[in-house]
Amino acid sequence: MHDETAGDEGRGSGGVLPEGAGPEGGGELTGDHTGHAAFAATSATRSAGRTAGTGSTVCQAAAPEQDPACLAAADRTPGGPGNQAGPGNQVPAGPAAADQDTLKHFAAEPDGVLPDSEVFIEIPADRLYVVLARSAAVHLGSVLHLGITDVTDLRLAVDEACALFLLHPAFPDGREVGLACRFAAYREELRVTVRAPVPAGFAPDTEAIGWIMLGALVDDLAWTRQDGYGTLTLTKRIAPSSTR
Amino acid sequence: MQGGPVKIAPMEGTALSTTVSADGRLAVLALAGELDLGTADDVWPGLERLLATAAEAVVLDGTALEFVDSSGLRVLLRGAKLAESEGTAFRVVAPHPVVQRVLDLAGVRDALDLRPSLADALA
Repeated sequence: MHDETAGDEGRGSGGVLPEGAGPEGGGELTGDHTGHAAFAATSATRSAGRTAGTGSTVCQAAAPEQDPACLAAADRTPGGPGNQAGPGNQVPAGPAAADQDTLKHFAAEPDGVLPDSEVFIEIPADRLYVVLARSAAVHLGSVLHLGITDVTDLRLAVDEACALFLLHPAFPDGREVGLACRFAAYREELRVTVRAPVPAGFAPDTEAIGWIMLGALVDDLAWTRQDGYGTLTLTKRIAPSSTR
Repeated sequence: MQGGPVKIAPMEGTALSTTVSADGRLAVLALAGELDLGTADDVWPGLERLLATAAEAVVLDGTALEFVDSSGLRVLLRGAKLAESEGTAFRVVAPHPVVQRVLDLAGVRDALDLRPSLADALA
């Protein structure tokens, strides 16, 4: 595994995208890299289920011939002790077997802080399904009591993040590839990651209007490529949960 | 306007409906719903045809358009560019605040002939 960091200010255009040096390639374009743990976007696990002990929920919107879509959130008592680092906030071991493949890369947050709530949704890599990710963003924004502008910005940001994968000429065709979206709400920020398997050398077009809009919609924007997966991380600062 | 509105290009399973009405001089393409990466490609052929055939102007009536992303914007910008080369006016009505915000974020207001209402665009 090789990982490189290049560029700062992923926001807006003009970032210089690195080329991976390892066989699988790795690269990162970041505005404020948080070292966020990766999570699996494997299409092998098409089941949906709650991860025992972690409070996480994996949801996948399957193609018509597959399981029906689902969406769920796992509250961790917003504003409660769950957002503070401490022994009680370590990710418990032993996820449910059904979700082990999907979550095998989803380790504890590097700083030990778990989100107050998190939502996973995986959609087929088909532009017609992006509306599901957008809807999830709107619903989550509502649950978090975000203002209307923040909610609409979040909806657009998620749409553009998905589009950066789906409309990229090098992105693989076919619904067998999944686009995994994770929404993690912390006390003062909402972090959205969109992740999918990408070919070596894949990087978003930072000159595209979508990237430029994304930079204006969120507070931090970061792109990483590692182990054959590309991850776009959007961070949006929000009012502390105790005041929401 | 003759003949009344004619429904074209029904897009099942998408969140966009398209209606076009034309009298040879002026054509109105009304879009309602969401103009996004899932629907933008379906809109372009119809818009391109209108721009190539309308004698005077094409109005994109987005009064009922509630969401536009960069893919949708590209359709509008592409339309503006084609209209310029065809010598046709291309007016865009998109009053929804969400759409207005997208126009601001992308900084494309100057590239489009934006009108506040359909009545203004038809005047």
